[in-house]
Amino acid sequence: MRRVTLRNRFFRSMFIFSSILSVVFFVYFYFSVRRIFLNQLIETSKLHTVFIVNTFGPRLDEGLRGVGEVKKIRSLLYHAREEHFERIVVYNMSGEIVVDTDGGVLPEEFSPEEIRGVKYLTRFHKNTLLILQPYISSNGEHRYTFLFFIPLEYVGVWNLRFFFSLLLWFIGLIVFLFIVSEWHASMVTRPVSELSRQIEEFKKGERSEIKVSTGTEIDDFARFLSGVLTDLNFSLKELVRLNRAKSDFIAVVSHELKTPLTAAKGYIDFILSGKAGKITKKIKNNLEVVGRNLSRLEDRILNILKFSRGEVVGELRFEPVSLNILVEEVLIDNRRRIEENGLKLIKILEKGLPSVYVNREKIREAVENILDNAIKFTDNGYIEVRTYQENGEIVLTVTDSGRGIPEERLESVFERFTRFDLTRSGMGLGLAIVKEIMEAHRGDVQIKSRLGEGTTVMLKFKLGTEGNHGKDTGNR
Amino acid sequence: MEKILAIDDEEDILNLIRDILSAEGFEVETSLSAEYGITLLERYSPDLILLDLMLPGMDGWEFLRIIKSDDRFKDIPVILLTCRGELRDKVLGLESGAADYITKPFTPDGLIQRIRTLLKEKEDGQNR
Repeated sequence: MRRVTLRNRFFRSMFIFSSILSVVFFVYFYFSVRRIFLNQLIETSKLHTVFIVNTFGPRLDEGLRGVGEVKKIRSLLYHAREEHFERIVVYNMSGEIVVDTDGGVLPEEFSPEEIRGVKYLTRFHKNTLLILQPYISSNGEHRYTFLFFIPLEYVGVWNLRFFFSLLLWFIGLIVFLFIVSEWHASMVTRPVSELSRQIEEFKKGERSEIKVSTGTEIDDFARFLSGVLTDLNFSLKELVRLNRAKSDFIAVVSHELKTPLTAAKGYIDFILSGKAGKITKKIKNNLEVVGRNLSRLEDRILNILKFSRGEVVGELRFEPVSLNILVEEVLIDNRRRIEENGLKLIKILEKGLPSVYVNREKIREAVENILDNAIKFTDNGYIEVRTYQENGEIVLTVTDSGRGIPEERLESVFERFTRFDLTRSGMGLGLAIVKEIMEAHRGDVQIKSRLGEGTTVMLKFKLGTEGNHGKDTGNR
Repeated sequence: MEKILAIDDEEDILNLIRDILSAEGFEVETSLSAEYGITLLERYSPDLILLDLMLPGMDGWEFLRIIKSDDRFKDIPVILLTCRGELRDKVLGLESGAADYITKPFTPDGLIQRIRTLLKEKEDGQNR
């Protein structure tokens, strides 16, 4: 739809309407005036026609006996026309023309009956008034009929000049209507114009608030709009501020967390390298655990930071990994914790499982997260870890006899920051991370649970190198 | 014996660096701030500088700018040690005149290797 301002629309409709109205008026006016004129003309002409008929009527009887006389009458009649008549024609009672001031074709024919029977007739032909007037002799006999031609121009008023001045008046009126419509439209739509002007200024940044006082409902609209815009602006600024604060926070946290880690890891490596002094094998093994955990801590910090920034998995390097060995390692690391919680550990790892092509650290992290949850939410009972092969997939399940998750919460369990049980520690990122990791490996994670009956989490890996080709899942 | 100047606001990190590098045979001088680092530069004339970027007071960038515009010190190779690992910072660091960039946490071996490489390059450059 073409865009047009309210003012223009208003102006256009007003102008067109009033113009049509004035055209109609003018046409009516023109024809009314014309009719009045004609009537006036007829009235004034009567004087002259009567005069001529009465003057010449009697002469005609005498004069028509001789041709010379006819010519004389004709000449006299010709002059009698003065400025009133263009032509005068005289008929006799047989319908023949006896005198004609001019020659030529008659614009209108009259029948003998009309000529004989006429009392007084006016007719309007093109722009000429025709008057038929009979000559009644003194003894009451209808002897002749005079036909008078009066063109409207002869009136003096009704001519081209008059028409042009009328046209000029008409044009003047149109211009006047134009100006009035323009003014009126402006006046009526001023509130709207004012509003759009202020909006334009606001958009350009020259104005921070929109306010009109026109005394119409537009004022309320403007107030509402202004309120909305101000709120939006404010929210936007807030958003930008918070975002910046978040970035700063991440930078600070990053630094604060990585620094102690650097010192700790550095020293562990240093000691393990033997350069601090000789160490026993036992010490070496224990320190290796510490070192591994510190690395894990480092990974988690990086993950959290990436999560906060919006990236998730990042780039992954893959290698063939024995799932069983990885699971064993995780279990060993957590053995103490499982015992402390009074839980029984059941391990059913299928022998001879083919390797999975994965990123070792990520999968370890996933397994740890799942195990962590199992330990956290199981007060007593057992944790069962199983690995097996099925339908071209390697499956790892972790089942616990814990408190379980209600069915309606099951779907949102993989969402970030959702926690079912707030009494336990954790950020709610664990399973979300697991899901991201499995997606990056083109694998799958499933969860089955019932409130009060425990939970089973299942990780599925496709066999073969194509299956587990992961990639950066992209920034959020 | 080659001399290394390490500047970092964490004492543990400085101790770690000192322990690692001493065990490798380097002489190590440390400073907790950039300002004091400049003082040490004049007294100590190190062969290489390890510089943390996030320092209180004068920060690492400022320090780098100062020494690179000083004829006495501009040829000393500087390794930037910092937590910020973004590519942008690395490029900026190298463009500002640093010779290398290591992110924390680092491995002692990695650190030693980088130092040795840079010192060797410098030596080759001088011998030409």
